[in-house]
Amino acid sequence: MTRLRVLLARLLGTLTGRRREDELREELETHLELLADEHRRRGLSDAQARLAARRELGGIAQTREAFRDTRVLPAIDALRQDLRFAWRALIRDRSTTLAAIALLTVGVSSAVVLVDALDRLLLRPPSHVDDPARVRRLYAGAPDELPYRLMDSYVTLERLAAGTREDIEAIAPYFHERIGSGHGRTATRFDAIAFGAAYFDVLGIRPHLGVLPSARRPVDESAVVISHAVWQERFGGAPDVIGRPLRLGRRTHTVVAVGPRGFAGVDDEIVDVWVPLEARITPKDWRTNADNTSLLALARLRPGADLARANAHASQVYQAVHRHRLENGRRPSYRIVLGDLPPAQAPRRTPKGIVLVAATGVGVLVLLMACGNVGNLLILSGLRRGAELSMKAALGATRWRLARELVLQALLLAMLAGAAALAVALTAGGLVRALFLPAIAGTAVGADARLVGVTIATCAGAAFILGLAPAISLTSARTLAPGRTLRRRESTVVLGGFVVLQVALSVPLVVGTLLFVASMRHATHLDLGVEPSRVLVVRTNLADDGRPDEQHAIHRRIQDRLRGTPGVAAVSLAQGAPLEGGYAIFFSVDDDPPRSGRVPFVNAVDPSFFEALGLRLVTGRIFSDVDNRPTAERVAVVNEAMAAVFWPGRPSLGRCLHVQGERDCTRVVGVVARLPFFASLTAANDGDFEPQVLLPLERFGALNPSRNVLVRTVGDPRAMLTTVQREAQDTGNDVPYVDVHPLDEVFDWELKPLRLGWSVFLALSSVALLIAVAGLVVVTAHGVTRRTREMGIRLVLGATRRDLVRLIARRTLIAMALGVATGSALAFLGVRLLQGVLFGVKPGDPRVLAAAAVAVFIAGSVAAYIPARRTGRIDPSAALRID
Amino acid sequence: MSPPTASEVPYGTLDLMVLKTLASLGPQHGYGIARRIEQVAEGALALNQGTIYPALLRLEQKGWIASEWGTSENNRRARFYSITAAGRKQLDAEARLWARTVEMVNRLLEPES
Repeated sequence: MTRLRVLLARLLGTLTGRRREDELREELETHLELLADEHRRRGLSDAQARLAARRELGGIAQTREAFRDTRVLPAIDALRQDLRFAWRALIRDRSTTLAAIALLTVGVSSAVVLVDALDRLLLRPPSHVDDPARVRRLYAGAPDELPYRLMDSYVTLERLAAGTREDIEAIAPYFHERIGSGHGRTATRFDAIAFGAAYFDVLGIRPHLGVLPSARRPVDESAVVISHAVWQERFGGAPDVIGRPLRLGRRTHTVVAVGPRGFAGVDDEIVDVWVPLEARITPKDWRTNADNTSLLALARLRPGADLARANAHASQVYQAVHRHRLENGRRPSYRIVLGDLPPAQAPRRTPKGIVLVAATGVGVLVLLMACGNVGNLLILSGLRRGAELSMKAALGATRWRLARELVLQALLLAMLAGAAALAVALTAGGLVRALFLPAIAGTAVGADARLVGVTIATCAGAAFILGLAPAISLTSARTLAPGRTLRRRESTVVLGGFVVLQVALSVPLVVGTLLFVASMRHATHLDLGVEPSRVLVVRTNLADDGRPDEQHAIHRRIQDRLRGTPGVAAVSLAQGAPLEGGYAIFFSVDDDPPRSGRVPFVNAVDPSFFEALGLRLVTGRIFSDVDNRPTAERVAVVNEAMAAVFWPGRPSLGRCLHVQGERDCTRVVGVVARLPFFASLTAANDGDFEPQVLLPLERFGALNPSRNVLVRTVGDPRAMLTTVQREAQDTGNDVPYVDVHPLDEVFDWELKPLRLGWSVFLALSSVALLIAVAGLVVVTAHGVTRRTREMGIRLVLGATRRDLVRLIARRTLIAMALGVATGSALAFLGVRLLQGVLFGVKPGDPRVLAAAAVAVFIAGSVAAYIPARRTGRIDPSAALRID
Repeated sequence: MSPPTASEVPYGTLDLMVLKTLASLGPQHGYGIARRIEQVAEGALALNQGTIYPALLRLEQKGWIASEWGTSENNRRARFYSITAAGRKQLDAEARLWARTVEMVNRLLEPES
């Protein structure tokens, strides 16, 4: 009890200031006075009395020392002293400190921001989901490939659920859909999930208001669950929202529940509303019809269920369900994988995920480089303090104590940089998250405690690395040998090591950047035969509005309205937009039976289609208005792939096509280049195009009800997006919500990872190169300063100034050559990470490697030359006077 | 070995002496305590008066004495120390221990009869 009391008292003494010591001084003065008074009374003179009093009291310094030792906890007090020393050292060498903090801030923030993004994308469980480890996403694939997200019919999923009850509580089918609401100017759109009955059971979500639908509590198909955000924005957070109507497409739904705050679904899209599957699914006999295979699925495992066994069971059931197809050899023994819930944790890594992992690695590399460089600065500043350190050692400071001071100095630096990095992470972090993460990650209510934790851990790690090298190299027995100031040679070796490390680390980064730049260039300069980057796709859904017959007329009106909009170069109406898929029909040709397996895809279009999309005519002609007249000859334009499949090696102009086997001839009047049907840069790169037939819209419109208005803009189509949307919406009060999107958006899934990799790698490798160059400049400059006297002697002995520059630069150049060699090897191994993300360039492309090595070497040479030049200006007489 | 004139304070006994002084004289400042110990020792003890202050702090940390500011006889600010209840208990225990130790050592030193 007494011990604890003493410990507490001492701890308090350590933490509170020095008031008690000031009080002691006063006590001692009183004591001295009283003693002196007594001596005076005994007849001593004033001076003698004071002297005697001092003698009797004893050494005041010792008393205060002993008092202090009693007052505080000595270990902590020593630490505080060291901290104060470290702080003073930092303040004294202000330029080094500022440079070190700047470098560390860059390093720490790049690492922290990326690690944080990675954490959010891959590691954090989704919010609001109960026991998320038991919630699984269904994937399917052949045993020898990574599985894809399972998409199947309601029938199949029902049978899967029935056959796996032992391991799985429930399976919930669902699909994502965008549903328009309202007409004309006030029309809006909702991102919706059409959910199977068990959806909310599987997720285990608790509503903010109302009652969530459940398999045990089926709801009417007009029910709707709204997100917390929709409740706030559209219903103003009204507490009586339950039971209120919400129009979605042609139906009026009734709000039955409000989702928990921050919950926006468990997929990549931010979900606004959840509607029962029954309300949205087609065809009418969906419960028995296996044709609609567009349903995704989530499952909840039973508590304690074995995942491997559940996978095996589900696979068995799935194979039994698809037995017939298996016999055709079309689905070779597909297996089911119950994957983790977060979409980014899919068994098949998304390109974005790959880039993010690589970028995080790079972020950590940059941090390492920054650490190396700061370590460098610390050693150099330590060298300048060599005499001070030697003196302390001579006065009895142990090596441990000196090393501790240096490590503390590094820790202080790291803490300061950490605070700055946190500020950067909180601001720039949002930008990086926007780049890397699906929008939904931004809605998650995530405490930033993890971010702070990551920052602190990173800083501690950095400080350790930072402090260690100088602590070891500056406090070794030899460097601190008595009677000698610091030996500089060993430290120079360490410095050289830093240079090699930094140069080595920047090579892979430059290689990565070049690979992404090359990929991006290749991808954006691909010849598609169309110019998707100039086109907006405009469409609305009349079928969902209950007016399927008006599809054509409404889109025509929208086209007419947009034709007069400033900034619009051409507007065309077509059944489908290129790259976005469409439909295929059977054709026969006169002189040759159609090839089996390749049924051409069809699109019926206006004559303006060719101009709007920038199609390239290879031979023949495009459509004219005449072709749309009912009396004119029926004509078609085909793409090269079609010509190659149907009439290989023969001219295709003038051939007859029999649409759906009709008797009438539809004559081929033109051939256009390429024209992809699906959005796949990879296929386009391989020259793999689907055969396509274009037909005049007014003659063949009945083949398919779908309509798209294609708008070619004068400038950047993205800049026109809102204008076009508003104009199209203003076409009339009977127009449902009009969707407008850039046509090249279809390439986003392929281009985004490249763009991302390109920007992040460029930013990080520039920083890395800057850091490396700064490091080289500092080390070379140090070499020049250290050898000034030697250079002076050489000059006197007849060396030319050019010799001296060469002498100084040689050392740095050797270190750099070593670094470039190591870095090239690192890059050769590291770029494998980027496999599957790059486009049209191989990760190990020797030209890229060589270019990066040369670039780094040139940058390094310039960095070495600048300070080395100073050698040429050495004044021999001044140099010789240096001690 | 020359005969001892004034010996060092035996280790651990300074605390005991301080407690006893405060118990018999009531609240005292550092000078008063040092003076009293020297008077009682009648020159047999070479007390470095400064050492009394770390001892006072130690006792205060243990809760055996308390202190407050007051005014000394020469009208200066001085810290006055007084013994606490816990201090009195401790003094009793230590005094008994001391007596037993002394008795034991004395018996050991007695000429064998």
